[in-house]
Amino acid sequence: MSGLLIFFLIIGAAATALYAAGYVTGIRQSFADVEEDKEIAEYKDSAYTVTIALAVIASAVIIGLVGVNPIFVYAGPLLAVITTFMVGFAFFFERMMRASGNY
Amino acid sequence: MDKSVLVATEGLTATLGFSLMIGFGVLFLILAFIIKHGLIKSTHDFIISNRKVGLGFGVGAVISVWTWAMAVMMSSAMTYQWGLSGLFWFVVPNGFAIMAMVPLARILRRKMPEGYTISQFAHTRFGGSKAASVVVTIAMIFGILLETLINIKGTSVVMSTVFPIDWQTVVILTVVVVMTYVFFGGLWTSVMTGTFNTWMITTPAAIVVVAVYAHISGGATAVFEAVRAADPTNLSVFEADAAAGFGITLAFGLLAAVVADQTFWQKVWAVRKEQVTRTFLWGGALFYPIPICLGMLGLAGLAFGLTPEELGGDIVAVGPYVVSHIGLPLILVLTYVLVILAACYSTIDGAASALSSIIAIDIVKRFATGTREKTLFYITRFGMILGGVISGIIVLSGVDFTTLVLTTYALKTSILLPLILAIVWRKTNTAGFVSGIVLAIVIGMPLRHLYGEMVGTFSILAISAGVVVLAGLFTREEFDMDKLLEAHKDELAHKAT
Repeated sequence: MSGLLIFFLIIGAAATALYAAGYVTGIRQSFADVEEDKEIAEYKDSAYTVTIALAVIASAVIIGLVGVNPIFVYAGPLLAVITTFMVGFAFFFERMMRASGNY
Repeated sequence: MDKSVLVATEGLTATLGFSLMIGFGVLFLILAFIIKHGLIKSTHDFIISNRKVGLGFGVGAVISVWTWAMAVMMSSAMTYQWGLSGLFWFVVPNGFAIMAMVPLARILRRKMPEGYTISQFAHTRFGGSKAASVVVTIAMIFGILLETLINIKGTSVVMSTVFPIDWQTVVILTVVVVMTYVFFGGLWTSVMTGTFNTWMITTPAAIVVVAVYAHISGGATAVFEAVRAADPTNLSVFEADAAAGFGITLAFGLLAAVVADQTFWQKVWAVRKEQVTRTFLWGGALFYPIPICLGMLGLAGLAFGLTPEELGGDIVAVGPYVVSHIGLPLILVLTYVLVILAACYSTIDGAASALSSIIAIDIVKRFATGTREKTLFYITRFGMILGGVISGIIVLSGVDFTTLVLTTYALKTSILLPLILAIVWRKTNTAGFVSGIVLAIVIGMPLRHLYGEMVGTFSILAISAGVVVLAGLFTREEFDMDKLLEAHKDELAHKAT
């Protein structure tokens, strides 16, 4: 087994652990919310234009880099693991927002 | 690179294939039962999750419904066919299409917080116009049917290629499995199973791709050199052929596929209002790595110099072919199959949930307003099942999807700009909206037939938007968007009666 594959297995397992923890947290929260009628009155709509532009440019640059150096072949798999991590994080991020009341 | 090393993996039996399909379904069915008992009390809960879907499930569900089985395989296929330019034009507009929902979703969620469907918006926005709402409803139903058909077909192609299973059996099994678990939990089941599937199409997919490169002698460097030696333009993202060949029209098609799709609008109204922007922003940005990752399988296919004939005549099979012939352990080949199954199941259950909301709001509640909650709940669920069964029958009949694809394309592309204008421009009126869509189809489709997809697409977009703008400029009337707020109080009972 190559060192790179072992590395991906390790970070994949770590991201999966966070994902699973987040998923369970999300399910518990959904069930806890059933009888909750509290409405969030105030929340700010975050700016999106710059984020969208950055995400589009980043994706284009990453694909372009694959054609520059073979190491970037692994950028896609690495980012896919980061997607797992970020979706798992999203559950906790929302919980933090709820705790602080800052939406 | 020596392609004689590519040998089919052994041990892929029919029993294994059935076990994967049914096992996945049983897991989701258990989750659906838990959801049914804890979260579903009424049609409102079933079709809109009581508007309490949080950020994590929202992002996970958006990514999973947007990742069709074909997207998993097409990212590899486009790289194989056009090189990195193909991957570029396939990927970049894909994530953008999701994020483009943000401004529209924000407006409608604030102005119409009690909404359920985009057809319902059209109905209210255009003063109860049957023409406006019916044309939008038809476009949504066609879109849902098409995405269900394509994903059922995708599942049957992959499962019958990898395993010795009859494709018709796969079609029947897919419909039975998905419709069974969605029947019990509706949108809640769809978002929770979809979020699970998002894990499947990210980390396991990444590990499969890295393992493929680990099995190639010389790894990524060898692939890079082989692709460059065969044709250096395959390593460039600036090749105009890919843009002209499919990229530009795909970009608009993807935008229409999201903005004119109830699957996404349902989530706009189901996600907690304070999380709507983040859901679509994160969903689009975090979607990007999936096709980029899986596109690398197409690069490996190029490096081995695989021919379409070796892939069975269909380049979409390049990803499955590489994975099942590179010499990976059986467990990793099965993982890849699960990645595709996850993509299929999540898109089909997302489409089924969207159909349930259309049945409840745009059909039953519009044409039989006095329907009791209990009756509505049953009609909604069985109507959703009927949609799945019809899709399965169409696939089983073996009929060509071309007419359905063209009709859906025409409806969605012609609705795209009028719908956006209806949301952002108060002067958009009923006459402009309906005639813009009709004229765009009547004039644009023959142009598409005569001059090709790009001319057709731009004609449809220009005519539909142009007519709406002209009609708006010739009248003084302006729609008061606050009327959307008044129109949708208590559309459905929020508790079972």
